[in-house]
Amino acid sequence: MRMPGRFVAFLTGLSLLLAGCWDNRPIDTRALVLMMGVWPATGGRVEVAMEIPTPSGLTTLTGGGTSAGSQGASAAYYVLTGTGSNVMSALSNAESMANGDVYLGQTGMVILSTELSPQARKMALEALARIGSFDKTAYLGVTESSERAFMDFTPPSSPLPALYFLNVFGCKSCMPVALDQTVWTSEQDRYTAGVSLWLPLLVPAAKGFRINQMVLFRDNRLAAILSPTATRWLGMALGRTHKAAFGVMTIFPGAPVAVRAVTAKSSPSYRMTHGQLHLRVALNLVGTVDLLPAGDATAPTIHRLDTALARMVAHKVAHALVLAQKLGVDPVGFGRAYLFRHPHAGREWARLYRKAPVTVTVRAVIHNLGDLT
Amino acid sequence: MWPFGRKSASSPAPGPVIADQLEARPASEPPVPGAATADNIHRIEGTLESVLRTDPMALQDAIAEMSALSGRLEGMLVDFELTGQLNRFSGSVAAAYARLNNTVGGSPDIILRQMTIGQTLKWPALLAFADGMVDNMVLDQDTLRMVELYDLHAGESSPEAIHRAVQYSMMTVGHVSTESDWSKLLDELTYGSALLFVEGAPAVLVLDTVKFQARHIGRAQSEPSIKGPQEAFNEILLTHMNQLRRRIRSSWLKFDSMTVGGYTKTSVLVAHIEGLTNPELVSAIKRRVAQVKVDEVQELHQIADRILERRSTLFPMTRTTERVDWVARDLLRGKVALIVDNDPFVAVYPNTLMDFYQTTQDYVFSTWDGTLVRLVRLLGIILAVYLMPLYIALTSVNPDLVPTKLILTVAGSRQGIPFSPVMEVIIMYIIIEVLREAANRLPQQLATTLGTVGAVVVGTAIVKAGIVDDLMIVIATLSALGLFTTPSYEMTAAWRWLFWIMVVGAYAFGIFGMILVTVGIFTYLCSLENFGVPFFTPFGPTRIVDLADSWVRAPANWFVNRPTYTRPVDVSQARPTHVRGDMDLYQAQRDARQ
Repeated sequence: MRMPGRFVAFLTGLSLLLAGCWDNRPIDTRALVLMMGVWPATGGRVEVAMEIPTPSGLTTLTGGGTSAGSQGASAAYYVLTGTGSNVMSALSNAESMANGDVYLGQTGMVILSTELSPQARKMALEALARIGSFDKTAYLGVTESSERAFMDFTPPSSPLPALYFLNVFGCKSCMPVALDQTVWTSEQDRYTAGVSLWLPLLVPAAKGFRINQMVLFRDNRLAAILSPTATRWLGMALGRTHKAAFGVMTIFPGAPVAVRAVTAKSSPSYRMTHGQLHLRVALNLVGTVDLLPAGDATAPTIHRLDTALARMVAHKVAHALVLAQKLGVDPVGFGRAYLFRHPHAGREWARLYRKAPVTVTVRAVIHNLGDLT
Repeated sequence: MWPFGRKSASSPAPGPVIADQLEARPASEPPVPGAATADNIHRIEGTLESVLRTDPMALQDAIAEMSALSGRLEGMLVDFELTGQLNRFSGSVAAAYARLNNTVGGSPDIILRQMTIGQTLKWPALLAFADGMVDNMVLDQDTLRMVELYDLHAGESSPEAIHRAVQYSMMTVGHVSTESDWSKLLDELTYGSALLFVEGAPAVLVLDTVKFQARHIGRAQSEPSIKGPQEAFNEILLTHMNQLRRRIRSSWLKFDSMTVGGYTKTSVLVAHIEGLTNPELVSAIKRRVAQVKVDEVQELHQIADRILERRSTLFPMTRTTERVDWVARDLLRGKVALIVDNDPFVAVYPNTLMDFYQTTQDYVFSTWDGTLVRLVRLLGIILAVYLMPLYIALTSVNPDLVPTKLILTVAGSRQGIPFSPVMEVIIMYIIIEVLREAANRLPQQLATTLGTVGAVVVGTAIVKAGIVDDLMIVIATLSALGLFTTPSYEMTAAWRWLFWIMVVGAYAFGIFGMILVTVGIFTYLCSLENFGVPFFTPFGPTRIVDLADSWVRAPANWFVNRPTYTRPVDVSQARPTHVRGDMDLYQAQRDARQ
């Protein structure tokens, strides 16, 4: 079929008219929200805070310099806050105070306060899912700090806190346990039956943010804040260990052997035997030994080290899994696999999960020997 | 000339007629036709001026024109009386002189020389030639001197005998032919031949004395190559043929001659290799060239633009080149070359998109270098067409697609810039276009200076003035350089237009708009044809064999057959070369021992 030229021209003109290109605003005229947080406010309201880079901060960033943050004379960013009965209204209130078009498409980090009520937390997460222009790939975390303490804190290594998080979470192999969670993946966890939401805890510290604890949620309620140690073992069960270090004490009494750069691959599974649910996690560890006593760098010694490491890890990971089991949370997602095959067994899953024995099998291989740079 | 001006109000100045050297004009010589009429006209001129209330200058124009017309008519009448035809030379030298003097004689470069043949007989003759277009040496030594000094025998007193003697005995010019038709005689005269009219002989001797003032054969300026042949065509058709013959020493190389142009009568050659090139292609091109009816042909494109199926395509369908080696190569690949006199560029047909991205240099170096430069050219197109629109799309419509650190850099560099990204792009592209055009118009040395001024001074100044940001300078420079990687100049125009369409698409719809325009470009490319050959081949339709010489340049021994799209009669162009390495060396050593 041959379309007349006039018709094509009409279609082109019409589409250009309807494109709304005159509403396009250049990026430099928009207020780029790089980080956003939700905190509880008085009277059951919520407060939304947004970190927005200043023009001078942007210029400094372009030039490769550093800035003193919001506290300094030439602040790299400013914090815009607004309160409301829900996240959307708080966001609107905050937006009304901005001197430009607030743009959420570049938001890199979203913070939720641990003080938020379950209802408020749920509404906040649902609001994030509904905002069209919001970038769903933003990282998500929780904090116990207040809005002022958190948003006004500028890590010395980065003029913009949002960039700090983007750097940390962007490099998965740089952290002992990669605790990155995005809005997108958290939505998956929230709406998928049989898996519990977990988020990293962000703590402002002297040299930056401390990110080594995991916060477990059960039906939007905060179930537990794991210690750094428990986080490490549970992270191993989740397969998120990329650069862990352990001290094996049992090979040479009084002289611990450091096993470093341990990477763990996790394969969780379940098995039903005679109506009994069995949970199983198979771990595959690869690591490097820093230093062995002279003359002991032999194959049998390495083998003994492998065995000792596997035994220790298996014990600790099993312990962390049992802890989660007792809390009634399933961050690994055994339930997701079970309910996939038994979609109508939602009610009995909680009962089965609490009583299921946990088995952790570990295969550890020391594949390298020597100092790490 | 009347009625358009008064500068030539006086009667037309006669041509530089060389003084009559006849010592004694034969008694039978008729009076010069038209002379009496001109005298009469001049006599009544004064009377008319006083009687008629008209502009005397206009009147003089009219009289001059009438005088010339009268002379021409009387010459024609003499020819008509003797031959019965108006357009045929009768054998009367006086009539020929009148006719020539009143047609082309007014032009200062047309020389009419009345002379005699033989030392004793002194037979009247007329020599006509265009000054500057003939070889003076040939004319003086091989024609005039021989004619005047030759001593005719007593038996050679008849016009036919004298004509024969002059043609076969006196003339030492390489090529002498005879012609009686006045229209052809005038064509030959203006082409540079010398005409020798012999009294009483109805055929005029046409002496090949052509020698044009020609530019020397130089290097190819528009398609330079680091290595390989450098020779370019000049404006002379004969040189074109010589250069091609030197490269293709085959009797199958044919030049089919045609003439186009009502006034210019420009020679056009359709070059092809018989037995190799598809005869239907040759026939189609010749037929279309023959259909071109124009008054003037000054350059190749006046014909090339008229022989295409679709004449207003955005992408050029005619690949022109000034490189001799490239035309020879294309002829040997089964293409047809269109050569036009006075134009150093030659067109080849049919063409595909890839033909505009192939150069001699691709084949001079290794396959890796050839492939690399072609991929760089492809990257150049992408940069030229997409980079600036991408900047608009990502900074105005789809900033969410840009990594955060990059968007911060972009936003930081745009601080204080009063114009939107799309305006920045428009400003920078206009500057690039102005600089490009200025560089084209200037001499080579100044163009280099202009490039420096444009790139450094204007670029720096415009950033300091706060009109565009630093990033835009980088983007604009890359875009401009990307366009310069296209070897064929005519192809750049297409991409420059598409760039603007892409800008509109990017500004209106962002990345989605750019994808839409890209789909449109591919669709358009697929719809184009060139003498029945799909323009987008070997990509669409896919020709696997031809892909070896597309954006990659395969090793030379892969090119066993000619390109499929030219549909050559002789498909094979080479046999695979099998180098046996050690075996060859062993054989050579054994031969040496023996």
